[in-house]
Amino acid sequence: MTLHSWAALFIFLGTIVLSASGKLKTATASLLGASLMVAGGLLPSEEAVKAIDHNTVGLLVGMMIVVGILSKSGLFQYLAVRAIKITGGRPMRIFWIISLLTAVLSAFLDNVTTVLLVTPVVMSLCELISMNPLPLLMMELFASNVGGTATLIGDPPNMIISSVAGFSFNDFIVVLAPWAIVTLCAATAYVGRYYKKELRSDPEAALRLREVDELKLIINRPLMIKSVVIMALVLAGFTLHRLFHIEASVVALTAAGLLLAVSLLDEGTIIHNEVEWPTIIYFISLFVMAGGLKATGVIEEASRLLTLLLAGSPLLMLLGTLWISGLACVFINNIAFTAIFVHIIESMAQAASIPPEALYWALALGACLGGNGSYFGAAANAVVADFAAKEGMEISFSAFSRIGMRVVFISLLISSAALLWIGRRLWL
Amino acid sequence: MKIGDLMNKDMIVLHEDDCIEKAIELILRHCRTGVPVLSQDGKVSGFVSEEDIIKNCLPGYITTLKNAAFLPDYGQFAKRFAAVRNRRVTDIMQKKVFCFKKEDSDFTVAAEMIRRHFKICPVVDDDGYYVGCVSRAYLIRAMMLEKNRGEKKEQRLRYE
Repeated sequence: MTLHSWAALFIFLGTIVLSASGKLKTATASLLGASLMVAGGLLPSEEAVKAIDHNTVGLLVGMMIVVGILSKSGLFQYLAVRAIKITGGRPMRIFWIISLLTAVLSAFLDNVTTVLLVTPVVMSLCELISMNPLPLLMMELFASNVGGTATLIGDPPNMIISSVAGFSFNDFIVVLAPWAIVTLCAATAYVGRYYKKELRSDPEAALRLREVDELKLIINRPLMIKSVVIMALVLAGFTLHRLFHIEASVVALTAAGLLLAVSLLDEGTIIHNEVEWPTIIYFISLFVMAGGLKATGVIEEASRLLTLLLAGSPLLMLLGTLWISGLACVFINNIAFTAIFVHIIESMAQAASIPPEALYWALALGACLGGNGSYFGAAANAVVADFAAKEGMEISFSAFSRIGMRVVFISLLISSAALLWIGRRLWL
Repeated sequence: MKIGDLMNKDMIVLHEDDCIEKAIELILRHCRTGVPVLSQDGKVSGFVSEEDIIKNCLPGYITTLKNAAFLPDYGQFAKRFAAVRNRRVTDIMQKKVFCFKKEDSDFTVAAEMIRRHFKICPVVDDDGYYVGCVSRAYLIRAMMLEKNRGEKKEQRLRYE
């Protein structure tokens, strides 16, 4: 490794440490890191611009606008209340239905938005029927991470991987969605058993569910109708985007434009409030830093070491990628990890002379599912823990990790089986 | 005109060991939207407004619910209020309190109150000790009194 490589690695790790320790906000730390790399001459500015993955950025902005407008209609909270109501207030049924609903919503919305929509409904109805919301909140965040694994738009790591690997929306549905369903069922069954004692409600209080009027949650009916139509078009667009040779970002941005036009909402407010600009800055900076690490040879060196460690065996490389990414993403942000590791995979596959597709799937599974292990794993975890804390239910780091690590272990075991199947051509 | 000359000098304040019930009593009795909380040495250590009290009687998730009207009324607000009323004001008060200085002009105070959406704000002296408070209504009232005083003075001069 040259001096430039060490400098780039130092800057990258510095930004991770600064943001993880809370000394600087994630976007600020990564923007400083990226600027330092370019200003320090580690990456020429033209290369820095080229390193930005505009497809992922466009997809993120487009989906943030679409989801922001869709959630304004009240449809998702209506669905959550309706789902709980049909359980008749039976705790185990509520537990399963919340898990399934969160996973489905999370497959099409981002995880944080999903938990922001479902958590208040869960907490308010738990209070209504005198039920401890903790098991539901924990399951909700696990389900949001598992559900996000199933689609291209479900979790940011998948967006990055799809852009680099050229996977389509349908590829994710065909390859990952079935395994995400298996993982969700296994995780729900396990977490349900873990919280069996807490899953109780007051039968008398449960009768109050009948008085809940979920129709009042639909605060903008015309917007809801328009939203459902456009969401159907978006999904059709994602399903067919490869057929028409258009990128997923074009579908998302077109849908955003259409929704802005028909929703009659104030465009300034929507674009300002619904697009998480710090996240966009974070992504752009990460792409620049990944470009810097690539240009200075750090990525190549890391892939050489990993190939050596995994003995160049396709099977070991598959499982190694899965478990390394799964366990790493318990502690570090899965977006940062994926933005870098996706390039390491490219070099690893070249070094071992194998097609990289299965390795990309291993990364997608590991990065998305590893987020369940601790607070730091995924942004949705911190959001749910914050909701719980506001209601006086502090979820300690150890209590979270105790159940979270078990869910990660179950998920990675199922994913290992999945990879043996997905990458069967590599190792058979 | 300096705000120290216009402000309300009534010592309607809370102390750190007062309970929320006392805050409610002061707010209702003196038609205030909030009351400053003073530390033992007489400095402003917090502020409790009617909004703070209501916020604490609502669940933390309420702001992210699109509409709370879907829930039936089972006395949840009263239940939470009963749990809150005997807590200490320090549990719910805003700890970062903006205070005006006695020497600030009425123009500065008016502009800041609108810019920061304040309805009532404590006034402190140079050493940071609480000396009074100024509300939007009190500010307007002081201006009206000043105007009347000016008109009367003019009339008297004309008469003389």
